[in-house]
Amino acid sequence: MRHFGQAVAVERLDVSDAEVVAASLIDASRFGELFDRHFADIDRYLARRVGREIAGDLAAETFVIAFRGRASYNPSAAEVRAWLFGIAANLARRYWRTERRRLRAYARTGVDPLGQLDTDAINHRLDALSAGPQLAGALAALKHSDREILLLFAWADLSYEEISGALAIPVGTVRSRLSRSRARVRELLAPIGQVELEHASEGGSHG
Amino acid sequence: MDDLELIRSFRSHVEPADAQGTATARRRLTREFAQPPSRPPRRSRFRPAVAALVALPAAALAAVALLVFGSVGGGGTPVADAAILHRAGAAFAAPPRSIFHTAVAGDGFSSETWQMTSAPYAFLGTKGPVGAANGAESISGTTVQWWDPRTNTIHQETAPTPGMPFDNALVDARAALRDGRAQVVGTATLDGRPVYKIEFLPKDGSAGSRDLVAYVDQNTYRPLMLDDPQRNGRVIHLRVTAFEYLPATDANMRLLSLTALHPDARVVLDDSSYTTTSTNDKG
Repeated sequence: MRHFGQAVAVERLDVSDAEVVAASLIDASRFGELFDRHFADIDRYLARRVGREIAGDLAAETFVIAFRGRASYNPSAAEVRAWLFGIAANLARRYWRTERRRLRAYARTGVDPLGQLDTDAINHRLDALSAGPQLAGALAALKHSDREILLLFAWADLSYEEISGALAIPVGTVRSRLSRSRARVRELLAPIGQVELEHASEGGSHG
Repeated sequence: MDDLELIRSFRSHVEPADAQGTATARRRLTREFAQPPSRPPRRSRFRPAVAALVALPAAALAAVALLVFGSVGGGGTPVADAAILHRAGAAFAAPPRSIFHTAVAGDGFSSETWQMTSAPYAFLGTKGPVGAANGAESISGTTVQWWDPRTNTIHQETAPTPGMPFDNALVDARAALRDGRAQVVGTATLDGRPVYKIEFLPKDGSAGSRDLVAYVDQNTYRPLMLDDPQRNGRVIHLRVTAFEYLPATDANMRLLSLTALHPDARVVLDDSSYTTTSTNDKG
């Protein structure tokens, strides 16, 4: 026998994020579904950028801001996920100095201030682990606006169009900044042999 | 491994939110659900100061035992409050083409900043634990410099936003007075000096309940202490040890330049050099 609650839960899995936003205008509690779907991703993205002690609060604030502004959400401008990441990125912008200092500290000491490693995948990530300090230094060397776009692309898995919608900037700007920042990162990492320059494509995997 | 793969692998090296943190965030959102859809500004004009007192940890209260509250609740009639805010606004107001110097100390750390009051709003600031050799950062409008005291090195790069204003608690308070986001919530006595207690509402309503409170001298209207709420709910009590506007003379302008303050420091002009040169810096 199927439990009624389960039936409701299964039914809601088929509801799109945009439909949940619309439904939440009538029943505010529906917005909690977006929290359940996206909080972990938003929180992790923020934690990687500004640190665990700040990230939780910013992630919570992201959803409060989104909830308060849900009536003005425009589904044609950005997917809900991109919209949420855009809010999170705007909040993280206040902490660009914190982010840069963390990256620099990592580059200087070789110790990741966030520390937690995925041990299951560690054998597949030896290159990445050894290159961590250099990568941190390279990211710290980017302009904040370039780093923001690069990390929305690489860590939040947003497409060019989604980043454009999330940050309200032209897609051409996204493309050019991303290209510039990736070229800069490759340039800074090339001396340590961690990046296959000849195979690095500008387009990435979801552009 | 290409650059994107490398950056993506970097993403996983982070501790996920714990259940408690997630539940706290969920509760914060859930509280919003109970709000009416088109509610007025989130706070009543005069929040009883008693509520703020209750929120203060007992230890923090003990730390500011020298503070004796005279009255709580509203500061007086609306007209009287308006006069107080007007005078405080005048005391906080920034003369153009000057340098705003502030220094605060509290909770084991101190902070000192200098900032031009006109474009390009160049600033220099330092903060950190009391007694430690703390670094300093400056923005000239086009470049950012960071001085590392351990290596006596100045790292320089292009500013992400030209003229980005430096934000500290006093700058926030000054802006709130200017923008009409301040209210008198009581009077008190601080070190024997009568003060008005003024609460500042954040510019961005999304900032939650982070309201700064200033204790301003009833004679000079200059701030003597700030209650600066933190994101984690703590309230840091900051004693204001400097609050002044300096003329923008050549000598004072040197206060905004790390290279002028540390003429013997090595200057590294970009971050790629920083990465290279600081690799061996474990100090």
